[in-house]
Amino acid sequence: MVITFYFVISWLMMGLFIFNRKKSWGTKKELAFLVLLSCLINSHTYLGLFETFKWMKTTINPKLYIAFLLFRSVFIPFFVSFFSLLFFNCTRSKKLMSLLIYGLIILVLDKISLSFELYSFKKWNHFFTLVYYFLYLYFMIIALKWFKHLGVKEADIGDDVDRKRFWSK
Amino acid sequence: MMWTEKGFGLNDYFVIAAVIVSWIIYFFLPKIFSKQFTVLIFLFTLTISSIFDNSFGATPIDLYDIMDGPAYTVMDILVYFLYPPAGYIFLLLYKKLRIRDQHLVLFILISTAFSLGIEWINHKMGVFKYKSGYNIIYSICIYLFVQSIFVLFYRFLYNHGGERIDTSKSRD
Repeated sequence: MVITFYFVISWLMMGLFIFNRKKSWGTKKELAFLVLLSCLINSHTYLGLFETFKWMKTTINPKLYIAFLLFRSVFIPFFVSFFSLLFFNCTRSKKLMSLLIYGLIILVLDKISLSFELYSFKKWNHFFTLVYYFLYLYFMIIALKWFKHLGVKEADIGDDVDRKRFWSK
Repeated sequence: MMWTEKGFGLNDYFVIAAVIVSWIIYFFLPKIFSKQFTVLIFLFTLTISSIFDNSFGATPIDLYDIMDGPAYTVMDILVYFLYPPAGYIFLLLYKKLRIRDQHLVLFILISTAFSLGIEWINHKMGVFKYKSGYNIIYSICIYLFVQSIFVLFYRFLYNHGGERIDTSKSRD
């Protein structure tokens, strides 16, 4: 039940992120950058920050742990990447709405994860979760801006994935 | 967060030296990839290793420890600095040697054997400590899998690097 729930929402989030037909939000390099970076941050935060400082305790039940891994390393990276792109591309009036939806989904998922006992709070609460995820989103948007800027600079020198001129020698 | 769990030992000095050497090698290598793609290579290596370490190396699976023990220390983080230059060298060789499809399996097998040798040295130096019946032989599966998807990842971005995702076009 728990694994199925997290598998379905992870699959749904991947689908929404990869096969978004509404508009072109970014290049494939930008999408890859967002997913990889968000996965890197989130996997280290839960173990390196929350567990190390004993703010949270992750489950030791193998079944629940698989669900937790799906949540931490698949759903959240795609979810945060999706909202980073959404926030980056939508108009100012829609930004507030997207932030509200983002916060609401995080809160609901936090409650569900707690009720399934994927993790338990020690020196932590829902407010801290919200603060963490908003800071996480903010960092992702800044990182995306930097990555786009890196691409623009390279476009000026006629560069793409690799510098072909090295290989033409 | 602690620097180490049991004080500075051989494994810590080995990691520091290995990180310095690998980054010196990286700086002398030809920069054949764009900055954006180099960032993606670094991120790919860091993310994949992090997923494995923070999933299979953590309770309840807990197959191995990095450095002195299970605690998350600064030296554990330093180990991750070994991966980006290795990933860069892997793709550099793949590109430089112009590996054709029929030689790709051989290339990944040789690279896996080399990676296994590096892991064995790290294990002997106390960087990786195997637990719960884990054996270095099992790492072959991980290297074969990771290096294969690394090549796929490169090809995916190489073929579509500048394109924007617009699936509506594919319906035309």
